[in-house]
Amino acid sequence: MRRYETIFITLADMPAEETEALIERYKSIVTSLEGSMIKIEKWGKRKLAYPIEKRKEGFYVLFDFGGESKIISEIERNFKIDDKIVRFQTVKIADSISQEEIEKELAESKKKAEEEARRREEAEARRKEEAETRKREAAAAAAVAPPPEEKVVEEVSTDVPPPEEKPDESVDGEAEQVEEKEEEGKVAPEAEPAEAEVEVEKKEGEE
Amino acid sequence: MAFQRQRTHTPRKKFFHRRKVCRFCVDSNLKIDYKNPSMLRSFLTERGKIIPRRITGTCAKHQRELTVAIKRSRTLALLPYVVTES
Repeated sequence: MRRYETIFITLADMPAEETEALIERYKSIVTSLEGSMIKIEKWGKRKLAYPIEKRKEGFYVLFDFGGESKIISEIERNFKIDDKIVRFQTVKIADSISQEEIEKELAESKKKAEEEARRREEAEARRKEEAETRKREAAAAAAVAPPPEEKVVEEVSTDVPPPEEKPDESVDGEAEQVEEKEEEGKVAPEAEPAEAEVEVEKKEGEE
Repeated sequence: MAFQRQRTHTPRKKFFHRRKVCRFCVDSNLKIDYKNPSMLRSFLTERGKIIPRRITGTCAKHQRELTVAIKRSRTLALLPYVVTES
């Protein structure tokens, strides 16, 4: 059994139920040929980098599944016939995958989904806290920086807070402003050097 | 004459040369993935061409992976083949 990843683009201006039905139909092709679905990701509407068949937008769907090569030939044959499919691409991820591994992946993807939901909640909670006090915000920023995320994400996370802080200052009372100024002195020297380093590294890479 | 020539050449050698390092070798978290066009975009010119590794400093192994990834995401219209000036 091999592991494949198929991405296909359907029409963006189709009603939601129809896209759902379409996804279900292709899913059934995979499962009917003894394939096992690992995950289905709906990326949703996206702008195409270049027009395809005079369309500027597409609805992206990703299938991640394990199975034999006959699934690919069957599903791609259907893609070619279906005029609702704008584009498709299949990539082989692994040469062999056992049923156990698939089950593991399923469990992991479930966990990941839960974690993401949790993270989102946490992020929202954090934002609320940031709005309330700057002390907590500083702690949250320190907690956000270390996790193994991509550089781009890190930069965004470090860059975002300042614009959010400013409106807070204007809204908050005078007494709080004094406190904030005192803390600024403490927080700034910690946060800024790290940021500067990241930027320098990036520049080196680009040049 | 020859002596003078040498003199004019020396400052060039001393010109600060920053060593380029492969971004993917340095940062193991950064993965080459055709589904992540925003990351791949930094290895394209404004015109949509793949930047040679002599400029980006990417190592041969990762440049090979990178070109495949870029070409894959081009077929999925995540990245452009060409960007024409309008």
